[in-house]
Amino acid sequence: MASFDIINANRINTQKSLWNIEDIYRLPNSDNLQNYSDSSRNDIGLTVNTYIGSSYLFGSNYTGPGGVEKNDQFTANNGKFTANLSGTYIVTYNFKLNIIGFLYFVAKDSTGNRLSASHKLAYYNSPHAESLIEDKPISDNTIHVSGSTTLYLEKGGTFGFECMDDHSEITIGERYTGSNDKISYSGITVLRL
Amino acid sequence: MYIVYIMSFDQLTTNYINTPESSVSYWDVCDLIDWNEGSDPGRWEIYANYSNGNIIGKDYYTSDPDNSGTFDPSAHFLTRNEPVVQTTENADQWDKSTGQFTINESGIYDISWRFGFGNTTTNQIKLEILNDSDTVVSTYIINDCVNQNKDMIVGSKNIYLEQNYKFQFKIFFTSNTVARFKFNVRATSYSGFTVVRYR
Repeated sequence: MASFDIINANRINTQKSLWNIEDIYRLPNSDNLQNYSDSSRNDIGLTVNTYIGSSYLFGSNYTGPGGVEKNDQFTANNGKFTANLSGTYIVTYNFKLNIIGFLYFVAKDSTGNRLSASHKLAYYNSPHAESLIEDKPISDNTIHVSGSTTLYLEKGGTFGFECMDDHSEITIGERYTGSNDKISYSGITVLRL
Repeated sequence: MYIVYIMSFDQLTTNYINTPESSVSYWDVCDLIDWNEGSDPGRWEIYANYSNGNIIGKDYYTSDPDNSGTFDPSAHFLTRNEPVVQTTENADQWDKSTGQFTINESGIYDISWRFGFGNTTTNQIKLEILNDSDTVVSTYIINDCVNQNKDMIVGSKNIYLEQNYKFQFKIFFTSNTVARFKFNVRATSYSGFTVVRYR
């Protein structure tokens, strides 16, 4: 009994899983042009109180042992990642936004209660700041936000990046015609240790 | 008594497995070990200047070449620390002559970067992944905005990389022709990147 537990624990703890959730995975290999559903093609506006990714910005690619873990733990129609195994997760993110108002990392348990790992990611110039500065309007109004956070999630727990300001837009990658090169502006990686 | 013994044993074993001493390979590629104050103890800063399309850590020039005796102008970044798998991994996976880091073991890596600016510049920095034929297979834009003097950009990415793949950082400009990255301020590293392979 004891030996079985040791082997089993060792196997589980050395199997790491990685999800790449990025704009490049939305495009099929045959598509050499941008093919986004929004009217502006490049920049997609964020809707207040929704999660980044809920406008089908991102696709997901999974690397790992498989089993109960797979690509679609990131749900592209609501922007939420769901943990299928309890464990320690490292989340890295990079977003290009025109102006950042409020952006939150929101983690919840399987019953929907917000976890203490939730936090504000960044605050930059408010989209409304330009009108507050009389003599010097803000002209340099884009910024990349990147970073990482580590949290423990029980099976069924979720996280996402919640937009708090509907004036924000997110920039997604382009693919050059005739090239295999993939370019990502915005995305998330999830690593389960 | 029997049940208590099993529970205690499992807990100890799990803790031991979860905290191995060598669960990662680690490289820190930065400006810190380049610094030798030497005959110029009054100086606090050195800059590396980059032009459009340059590979960070390779294509640059220093603004103070006459004082090369106090630092190594050929190496913006050097590697330190290497608790790696000695048979296959080493500090030389970062090559300052190419500005590329080569993967010796396929696996999941964490790349975290920090770059300190010494001027105001509108720039774009790309993290490029090259395959074993030196073809760029993926590009991640890690910075695309205006940075000002003393700005620091930091970030990280977890990524799966195959053996013999390489990665590099490239910088581009839309309105400026030069970006200045701080070398370091004495014992403090400003710019560089850290690589971790999860074993």
